[in-house]
Amino acid sequence: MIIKFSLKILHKEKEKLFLPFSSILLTSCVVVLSYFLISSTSVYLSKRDKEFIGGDVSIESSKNFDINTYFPESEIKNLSSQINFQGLISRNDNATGVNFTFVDKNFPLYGNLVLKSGVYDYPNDNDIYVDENLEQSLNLKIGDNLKFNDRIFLVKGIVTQNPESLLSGFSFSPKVILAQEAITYSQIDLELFKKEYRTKAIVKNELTKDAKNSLRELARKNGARANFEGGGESGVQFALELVKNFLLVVILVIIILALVNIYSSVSFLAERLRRSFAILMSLGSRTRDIYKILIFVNSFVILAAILFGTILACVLNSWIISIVKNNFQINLRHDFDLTQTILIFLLIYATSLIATLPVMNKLKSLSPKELLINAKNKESNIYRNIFKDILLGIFPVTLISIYFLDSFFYGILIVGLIIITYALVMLFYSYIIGALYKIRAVFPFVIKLLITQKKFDGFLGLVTFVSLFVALAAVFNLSLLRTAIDQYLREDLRENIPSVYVLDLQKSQIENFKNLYPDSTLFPNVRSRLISIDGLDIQKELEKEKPKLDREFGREFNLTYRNNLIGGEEVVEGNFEKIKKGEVSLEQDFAKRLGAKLGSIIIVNIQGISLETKVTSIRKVDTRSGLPFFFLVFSPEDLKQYPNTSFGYLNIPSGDIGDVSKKLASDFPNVSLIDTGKISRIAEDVIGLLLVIILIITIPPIVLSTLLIINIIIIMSKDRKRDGARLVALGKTKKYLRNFFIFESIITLLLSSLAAYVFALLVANFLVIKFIEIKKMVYFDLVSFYIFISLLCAILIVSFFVWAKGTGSIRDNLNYEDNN
Amino acid sequence: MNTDKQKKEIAIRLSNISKSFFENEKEISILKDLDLIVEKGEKIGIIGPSGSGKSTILSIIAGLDRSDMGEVIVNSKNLNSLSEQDMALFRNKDIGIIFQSFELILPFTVAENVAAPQEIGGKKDNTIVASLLENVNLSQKANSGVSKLSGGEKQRTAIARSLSNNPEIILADEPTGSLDRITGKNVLDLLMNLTEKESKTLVIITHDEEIAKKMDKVYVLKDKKLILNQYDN
Repeated sequence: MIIKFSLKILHKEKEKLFLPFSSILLTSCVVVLSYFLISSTSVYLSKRDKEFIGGDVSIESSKNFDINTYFPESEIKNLSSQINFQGLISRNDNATGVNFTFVDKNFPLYGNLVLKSGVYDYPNDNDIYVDENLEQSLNLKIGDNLKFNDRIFLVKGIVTQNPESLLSGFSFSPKVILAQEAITYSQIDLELFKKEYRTKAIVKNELTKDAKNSLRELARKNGARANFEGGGESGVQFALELVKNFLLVVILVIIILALVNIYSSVSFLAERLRRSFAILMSLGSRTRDIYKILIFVNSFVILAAILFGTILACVLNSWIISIVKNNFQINLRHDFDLTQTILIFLLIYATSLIATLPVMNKLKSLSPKELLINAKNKESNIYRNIFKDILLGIFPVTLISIYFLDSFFYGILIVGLIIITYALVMLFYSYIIGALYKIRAVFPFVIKLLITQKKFDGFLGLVTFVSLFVALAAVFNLSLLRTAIDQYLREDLRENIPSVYVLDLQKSQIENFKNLYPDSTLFPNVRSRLISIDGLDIQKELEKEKPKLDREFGREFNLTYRNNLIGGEEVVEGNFEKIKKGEVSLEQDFAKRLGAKLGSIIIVNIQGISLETKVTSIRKVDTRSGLPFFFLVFSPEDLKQYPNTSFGYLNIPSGDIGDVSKKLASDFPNVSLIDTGKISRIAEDVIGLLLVIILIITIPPIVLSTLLIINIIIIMSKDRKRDGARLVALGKTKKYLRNFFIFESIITLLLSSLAAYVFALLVANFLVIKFIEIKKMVYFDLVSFYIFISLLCAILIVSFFVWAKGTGSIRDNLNYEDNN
Repeated sequence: MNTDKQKKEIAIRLSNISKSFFENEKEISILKDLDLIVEKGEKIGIIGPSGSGKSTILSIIAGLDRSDMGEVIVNSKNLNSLSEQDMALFRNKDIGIIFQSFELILPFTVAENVAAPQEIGGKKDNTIVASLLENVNLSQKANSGVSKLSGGEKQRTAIARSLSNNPEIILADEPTGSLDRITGKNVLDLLMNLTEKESKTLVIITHDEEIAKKMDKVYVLKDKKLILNQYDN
């Protein structure tokens, strides 16, 4: 009987089922598509991160070391070692600063080195591979000669994709790759160069968090650094992390929107079937049978919708991936994970099925008569049902949240935050509507009608407003975050950036250099470790399992000395101007993390000698301004006597950079020069690509929120048409009612948009500062405005269409002729 | 003389009215060449089997629907020639409608429902609203939500609302159809008394022959036409 009746309902009511079917289909499609895009983007970014590091782990040190200190041979799958330093290379009269990488035969461990023509093979002693940057700046072609330390090298190939450069195509300074045998061939004195030994390894078993921490600790003890995927500190890795963090935010937004959509669609689906159920009940069907029919019909519609949605998502995913690959050279394709896809499928199905339970509850509490005359629940039952609905709703939300976030704690936390947000907005909305309702008599008829309708909408009205608010807040939030990241990456990053950086100037070379470039700004650089802060032995503290301090304090720091502030610096506590012997100035965040205050005593170790200093000022610096900054600044009297190199910058017209390069190559061959203009242009390209990724993953939530708004309009339209018919019978025109319906939709959108924008501003700026760690607030966002305008247009069109469709005669909308 | 003359004034004239509906692209004729004349102050009942088209006649008289053919003159207005705007004005000023399922505006209170036709017409008079509520014995419930009222109270609210703009003609579609016998009788008595007192023209659609018998004339809708009933009073 149940299957027979269910099939009959499916056949007879197919028109009524079409809307929830399409809504669930689109929601499933967007969720599955988002899952595909986010997981492939995440895999892509992790892969690029690994390639950028050059292995699962990279140990880096200024001294040569034995990798077996870190790993027993049995744990290593493959190894590759490199020696890197900056130096100048020339062709005819042109010279430029480049990043030298001397590789072994195993390079690269991850990814492939792609050449403009030909295939990469291990270079001979006098062979050199150059990147496209150097090819362009020195106008090179294969077979050309390049001079380094008066030795001639032959260009063997032009590298177009180097896995150790971000997104396989970029590096911040020109790169050359040579064999390690080339060091002997070039006859350089390695001691003159500030070099770095790097050994990259692919390990047999994935490194756990604990293993990574022990390696970091071991590296620190040996004066080295251990890098892993996802834990990098470089600017490039920061950008990758930034996009990954953004992906996380998008996941949360999609979870919220998808759930609201599924709930509203399924509730609508069940509501539409109420009359059929009422008839069956009045004919003597048991409630249990009605439940079975409801579950059967819902399951059929939901499963069909999810299945088609998933298929559509697969097709769209392939299409988007090919577009992104063709236009942006980003390959997002990765192995299709059937188990994960089935899991997502089942989660959406479970959520939809659970969303049916509140409707089943409602059916249970109604008599057939009440169902037939479309009566409302009694007040006492409403709140009990709301409570049950919320409890039932939390379950799938929590499951999906934990699954997507891959964290029990964050899954629960996010669900808690969603519930609190819903509750607060509901209270706020109820309060406003309640207050307006009390003074409704003073308003014109149209406003009074609007207020009373909103008041009378009760729980449905509350959920509608809050859902709209959540959807809009989520989308505005993403858009504001995107704008903040965009603004930071495009504008702020290069606001103060000098035209060239000068690296590794020896103490003996400073006077000559200053004579040549009197406007240059140089910073002496002395390497040292922190020994203690206010009597706390830092190195001993870091050996503990749970140290009070960041492990970062175990590494070597660059100290400098000067008695003037530089651009982007500001003293927030104490006095810097008269820094005396035995005094030190700390950077604000550094001091906070170290637990240092004015008057704290800090002991540092410089080449075996301890230096005790007192903190006399705290400085605020813009760490990402592009200007050099130091955590610790000492008095010249304390540091001048130690051996040091200098780092600095020059501001010169871009046309003169070539001449300066030539001059430096002849007078100061160990000094490197970095043209920041090139960096900015390259950075912009990198940023452009990252923003493409961000844009792709922001579109699904926007589609979902539009879908939600359309759902809400359609769900409310039936009641509004009936109310409207009553007003027409009393003397209003149909045109007036259409306009009122559109006006109501717009007002609801406007109010929820306004509240959502204010909320999104608060959340986005909190995330920008605390989570993404960009110290840049964002207040206005043009994209949010465009989104609002697009939604407004969508609402106008949908409202108009919904009102026009099936309006029929006034009588059709009055109860006495109701056959629905 | 005067009274006779007034009685002969026509409140409603339907001439050669035809109306069809389409169901699954098939035309179904409901009314054909139907005629009706109702004099001012007259009270008539229309009876007939379910689905015969009684409510359609009322909708055409009320300006809620338009006939396919024929002439509809109500309170000296030719409804088929009225624009949508004028038709809305006609519904607001010239007639009052009472439905079987009350059709009250649910978000409004009892008083707001009664005042709604006045507010829609642009002129609200609280004294009239209060007086109407007193007449239907609902003064105590003026500020109650209509969803909390009993069936009888809802229909009394609907009666008060139909008189809100003091229209010449009251149209009632099965006004006691959703009520029990005793409540239905009370509501009908109230409606009759109020319309009698104000000399309103009343058209009632009903199934109940007992109600019909209380009318000045009773018409039966048969074969898509109205036929004056044998127990004409």
